[in-house]
Amino acid sequence: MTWLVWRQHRKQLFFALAALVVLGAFFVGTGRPMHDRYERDGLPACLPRVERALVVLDVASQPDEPDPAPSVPKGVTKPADDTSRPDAAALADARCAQTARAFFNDYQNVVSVGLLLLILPMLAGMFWGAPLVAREIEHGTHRLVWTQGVSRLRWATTKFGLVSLAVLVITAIYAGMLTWWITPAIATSGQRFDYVFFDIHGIVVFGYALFALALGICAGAVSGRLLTAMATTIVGFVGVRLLVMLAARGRYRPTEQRSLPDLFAGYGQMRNDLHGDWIVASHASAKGTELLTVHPADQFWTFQAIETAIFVALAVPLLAGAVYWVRRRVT
Amino acid sequence: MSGAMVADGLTVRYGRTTALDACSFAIPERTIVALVGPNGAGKSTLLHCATGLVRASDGTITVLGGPAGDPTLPQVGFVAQDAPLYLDFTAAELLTMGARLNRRFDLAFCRERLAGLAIPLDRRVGRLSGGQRAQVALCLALAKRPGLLLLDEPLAALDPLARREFLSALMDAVAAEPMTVIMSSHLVTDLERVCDHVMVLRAGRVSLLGRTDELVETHRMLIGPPQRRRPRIAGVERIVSASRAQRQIQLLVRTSGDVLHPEWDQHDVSLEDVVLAYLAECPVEPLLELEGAGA
Amino acid sequence: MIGFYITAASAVPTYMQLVEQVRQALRLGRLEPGDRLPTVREVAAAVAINPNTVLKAYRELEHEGLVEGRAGQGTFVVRSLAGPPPQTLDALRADLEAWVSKARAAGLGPEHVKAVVDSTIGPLLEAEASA
Repeated sequence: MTWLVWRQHRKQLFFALAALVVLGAFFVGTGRPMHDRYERDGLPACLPRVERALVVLDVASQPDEPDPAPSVPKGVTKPADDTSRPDAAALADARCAQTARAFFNDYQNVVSVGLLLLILPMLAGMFWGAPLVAREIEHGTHRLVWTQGVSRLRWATTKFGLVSLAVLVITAIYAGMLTWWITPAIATSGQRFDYVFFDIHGIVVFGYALFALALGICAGAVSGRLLTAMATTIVGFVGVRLLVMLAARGRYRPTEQRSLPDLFAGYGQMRNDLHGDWIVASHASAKGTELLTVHPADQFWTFQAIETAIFVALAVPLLAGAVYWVRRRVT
Repeated sequence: MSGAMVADGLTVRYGRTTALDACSFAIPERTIVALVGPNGAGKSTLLHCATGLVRASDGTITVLGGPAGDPTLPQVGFVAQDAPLYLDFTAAELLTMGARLNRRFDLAFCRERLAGLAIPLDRRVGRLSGGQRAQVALCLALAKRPGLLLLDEPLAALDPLARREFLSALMDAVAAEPMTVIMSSHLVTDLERVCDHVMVLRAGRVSLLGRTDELVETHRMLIGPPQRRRPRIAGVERIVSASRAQRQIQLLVRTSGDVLHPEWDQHDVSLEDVVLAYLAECPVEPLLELEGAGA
Repeated sequence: MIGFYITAASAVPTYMQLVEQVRQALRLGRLEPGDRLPTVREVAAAVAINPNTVLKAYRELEHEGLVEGRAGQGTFVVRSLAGPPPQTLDALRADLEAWVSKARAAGLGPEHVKAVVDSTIGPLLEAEASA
């Protein structure tokens, strides 16, 4: 049975591996220069610190160098809130943020290619999942293979299991390459929770791929027609993804309130985008400062885990349903 | 002996259509049965039932003494309509598949047969002719050494030469190893030379099952003048089908001996005549000239 | 070795056609006592007919005493139906050929020749059969 699954799907496997190679070439080709610049700009060193700050100095309104401290005459105490000059650390942070912003602006086009990668899991569902049962039925070969010595249960579980495994392995390789490639862009954008960035990196891609695959397989088993299964996969995948993304994702964890310090006291400051929070809403507080409703940056992996779990939880009954349908099917 | 295939009230429904309607029959072992009927009569459904591809809605079907489906599949060889194969596999790969999926599979037997038919093992079967593909499919089924071989319209898509070669190969296999063969067709003429039994399916019901030589001996065609009443003729057990030709009535009847009646001409019938009659089963009544109607 | 041939549309049952072909072969000397008939399997495959039909034919021939089945070896011819020796048959054939040439020389077309032959031998052989 294992031999049969391999022989039937080896072409698809080769295509997937070839696609991985092409993607890999693209990632390395565009990623090498990005990483080189990222390191040259000193970003890996300064970003971890900057990310901790809620606000940074608005460097555009700061002089390049801090003024030398005015000499204080003997006997006069320095005023407590001497904000006449910014300290060096804050300045460094601000410059780091500025460099990061410049980096991101330069590479934005390359990264928007990432939008295309959003459809990869769906392709797995369409070209690996949908034909799995549908093509057998359309070609009538189910009447050949289901009258040999294996039960339909064993046929279905072996086939679905091995193909799922292959998809997971390929997804792992892909996810590894992608994460390396996209790390500089994400770090310099601070928008880890953003609709594109959240979806294409991290572990959610495993959930999406498994879900799309299960959807394709189930649609193929129920309809027995390849085109119907592919269409259902597209509609179902896009629909569910949008639903989860727009309606559910914001609700995984309760939000927190962050109040920003007064941006206009002393030196001009601005909100630090690199902090990485998911900003849901912002109000003006009574004091005239900004009050943010956020999902904190450190919740990122929790959110990823929850979303992955949702899609895996959707995939499991779809696969079980497909097995059930194959067994009960009247030919 | 329980019989190669025994059905008792077998009913199969697809939604609102009834494909098989309370069929009861027993096919003896070591026979070659022609399963005949028009398209949609239920021939494929019956064969699919016997292989477990379709579940009965009602009634039972047993195959070689066991329930149809997974328990008996190792002893049942099946070639579905149009002999489906994985077209991008070579014949050798199909044999490998058979060996991997079946507990008992005689690979050497297959290779020998295909070599004898000059069918290349390393070419994709999609590139073989229809007749060659049918032979490969038959080989796959025979390699299980089945006690029951089911063939769904095996000759339909083949040219006359390929048909003859297929039947030759089939007869060779049957002569070598005792088995029961049930092959369906919507033409009985295809199968007359090889079958010793005929089963007629019509609208999901079995209208006839019998030995071909007995059927030809016990049926006659009677030709006579138009009738006013339903004819009762000594020696006729049953009027199977009636038709009208010009000023004569033709009755295909089942007899219990020779029919001697001054009014009726008696003729021998061919197997095809018998099958056609049981397929049509036209009643006599509409053809009767009732009192007062017409001359 | 005898090669069998079946006419599907014939009124004669298949097994009888086989029996008749064996008898014919014996008459013409193409099969002689001691010759082995092809196996049931060989005939069934060569002619694409039911092996039981072949078995029935061989059993009929056995019943008529023409052949004998020997376990493990096959079916063998044990009696001949050949009438006169080949020379007599050759001489008769030569006479017939001469007559046909004469008839053609006299201006009879092929169909006419056949008609004369049929109308002459028909009644003659029938008279003999009923005698």
